[in-house]
Amino acid sequence: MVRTENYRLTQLLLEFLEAPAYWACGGDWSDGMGLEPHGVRMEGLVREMQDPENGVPVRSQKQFLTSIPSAFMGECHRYLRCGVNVSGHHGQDTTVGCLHVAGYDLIEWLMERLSIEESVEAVHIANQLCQYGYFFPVNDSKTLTVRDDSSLYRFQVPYLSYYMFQNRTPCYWPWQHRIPDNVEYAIYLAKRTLRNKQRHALEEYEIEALQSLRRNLQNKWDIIQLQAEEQVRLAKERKKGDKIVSDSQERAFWRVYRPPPGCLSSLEVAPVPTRFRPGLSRPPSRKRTLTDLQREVALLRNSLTRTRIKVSSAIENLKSYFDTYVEYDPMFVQPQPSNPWVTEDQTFWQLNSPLLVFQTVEVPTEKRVKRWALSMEELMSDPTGLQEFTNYLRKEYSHENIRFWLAVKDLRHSFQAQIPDKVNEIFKEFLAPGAPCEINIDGKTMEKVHQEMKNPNRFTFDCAAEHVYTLLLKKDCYPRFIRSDQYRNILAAGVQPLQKKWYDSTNFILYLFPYHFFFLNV
Amino acid sequence: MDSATESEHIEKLIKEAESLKIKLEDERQKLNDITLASVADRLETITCINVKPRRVLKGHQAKVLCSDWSPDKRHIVSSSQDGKMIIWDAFTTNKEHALTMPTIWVMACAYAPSGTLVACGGLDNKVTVYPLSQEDDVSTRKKTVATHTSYMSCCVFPNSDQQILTGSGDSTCALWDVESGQLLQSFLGHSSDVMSIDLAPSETGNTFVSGSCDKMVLIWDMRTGQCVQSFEGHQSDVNSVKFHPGGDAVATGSDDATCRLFDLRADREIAVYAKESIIFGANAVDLSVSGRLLFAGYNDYTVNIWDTLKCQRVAFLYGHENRVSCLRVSPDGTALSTGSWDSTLRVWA
Repeated sequence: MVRTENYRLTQLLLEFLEAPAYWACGGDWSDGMGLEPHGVRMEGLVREMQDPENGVPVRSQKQFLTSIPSAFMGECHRYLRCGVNVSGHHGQDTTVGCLHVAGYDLIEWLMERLSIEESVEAVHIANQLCQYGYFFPVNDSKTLTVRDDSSLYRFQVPYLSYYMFQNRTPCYWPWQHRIPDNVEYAIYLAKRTLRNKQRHALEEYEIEALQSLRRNLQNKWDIIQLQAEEQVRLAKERKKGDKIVSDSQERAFWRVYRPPPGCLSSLEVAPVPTRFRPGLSRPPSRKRTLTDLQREVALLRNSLTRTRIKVSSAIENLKSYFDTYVEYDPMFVQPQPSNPWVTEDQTFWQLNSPLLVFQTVEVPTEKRVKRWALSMEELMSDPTGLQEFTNYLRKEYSHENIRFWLAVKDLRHSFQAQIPDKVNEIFKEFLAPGAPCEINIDGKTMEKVHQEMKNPNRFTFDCAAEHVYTLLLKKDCYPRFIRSDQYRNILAAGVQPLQKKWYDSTNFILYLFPYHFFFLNV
Repeated sequence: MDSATESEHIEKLIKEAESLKIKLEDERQKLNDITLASVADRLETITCINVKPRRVLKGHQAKVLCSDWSPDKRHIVSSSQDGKMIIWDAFTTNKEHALTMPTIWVMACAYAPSGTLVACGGLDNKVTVYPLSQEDDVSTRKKTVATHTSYMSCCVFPNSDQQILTGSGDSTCALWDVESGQLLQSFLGHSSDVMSIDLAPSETGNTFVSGSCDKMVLIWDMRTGQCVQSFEGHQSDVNSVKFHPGGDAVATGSDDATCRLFDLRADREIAVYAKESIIFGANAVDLSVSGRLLFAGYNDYTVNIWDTLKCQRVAFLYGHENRVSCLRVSPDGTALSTGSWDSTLRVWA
């Protein structure tokens, strides 16, 4: 009677626990099952690794126990994988992952498969796969790291095979399984307390976890205890070798999902509803409504009439942008006198602080002044440049244009509540007949401004400002400023900070020949 | 309109959209005269990129989710899963303010152009701004500006302390008036969560770009609220978007383990930055001052540095011990900051 009840409860619990993932996709690998994209790529890679022909050379446990000489390790001594029944024939007798791969075999395989040049990158990828629980170190249940040496690794059970299903062995690949819940964890911990103390004793953090689970899952604890006992009973029926292997796999699995304190799990995801997470398919995107589609069709229609440039000219533009700006890119050319982050010397920042009081205390660097000549946008985005430009125009009695442009820019970025007042102020100062700083715009633009004034908003003067910007400032004032004596004087006075000697030896070459490397072909 | 005619209408529009897309692709293809790779042969290879770790900022108790540089080029604001926002003097590695948020997963934070205001938000669906001052307790002066109907994933001040532009899990972007909390403009067009936004570098251009889990990259007119250009190509969530400093191209990073470059004037994708050995998604991208280097932070804890013009990886940076969640080039281009789920921020130069 107790026996039947036990069995029924176990069945119930199994239904409750078993991830439907594998069965849902018909036992087929290929279905994405809502895998996070890198999950798909990782699983593909691990599957290739386990390929009997072209995968990572595997070694049996026996070899491992009799400590293989390293010369032998390097040799591609392949065994047919008997780890997991990859072909998927149900009921075939299989032995669970009794084979191992060596660290350097793994690394070598990855380097070849992914055309990696430096082994550090392959070690890094191997470590990632290990962190995600695709394989794990045989001799170290605490840390999940891969080393490029003869240390041995065991593959994790990829998915529910028939054999494993019969034996209630869960699948351990992260994305073939939904995130395991606390009931499963409780069963696992409870099971270990029922087994040999020496080999299966719980770690401190696991004891704590068990205690708190016991409190929180009080009403389920009978079932949990029964299930744990059932699993221990089943385990006893297995061969010793299999038992060791499946124990280690189970342990490694929980090492990934319930890491010891202080260790972050790779499987954690942002708690954001629509993003991918292991084992869960992604909720569908919001259903598109009629308005969505109308909007899309309108955009597509507009796009059809768009004027385009050739890809070659687009690339040419990017290239010439680089040619112009490379000397201002600290990643290429060391800033003068030095990069503060590298040398701890903040002179560079002092010389480039936004507002310099020119000709009184500070002088901008030559390089900075040169940059003003690249484009009007460059000049205007440097507060010192803007100040000099405004001074120049004031002397020419034509600074109403730049003042107007700045006022409009300020309007666009003002608090909503200030908008009506500011619109009126700008109109009175620059546009009204007989205004103190009347700007010179054509009748058509003026007409537009009057139209817009009926409904004052932050964009009321945009058309007028654009007119002023392109016609007056950009095509007239700016070129005159760049050709003026004032600009030339500033440029001539511009300081050229000496490149300081700095002792970061690896950067030494760059310091000696800052331009040499990049202007060879420019 | 009854539901039958509406669904007919929808059916019709879907068909029209499909045929328009084919036509559009044809048009774009006509001008696709050359590949980046063929041009790149004429370029010098970048050989001496020498970016090294210079600072480690420790203080968050959990995953760092977002960070932004102050316009003063040395301060950084960062937000974390533990509900904290920290203002760092990255140069000295000192913490100047530590603010506790009413939410965990503070997924976005940003510095205002004046450097005296920061904004942040996340799973609380809100954007909160904090004026920074040395005298008062900063948190007493906080102000909730806006509320979305889902989490706020990204925010940026559009060249002004008075407005803030946000992107959200509710698939919209929105422009808000900081003082009144008034919604100035909403931007509808994405069909899934907006993950990232970036402003066009030119102050006169009123445009910004957004990237979303619907795999699309959209360019918006801030004034009209209209989407003016769209780019397809990524095969998964677009996690990060960034304008090229020249303003004519947009770099993107995606869960599909690629970064891409879309050109606005050529109206198409012009480069894919991918490698067989990169199997994890890219969370954050940024470009160097000249636009030649693309820095990308990945889920596999690394930062890869790409040569945008030669489509080659020129270097990779190891250091973080978990996902790289955010990455920014400093305003003057002298340094790169990265934030990670390992709870630290790092500055590289």
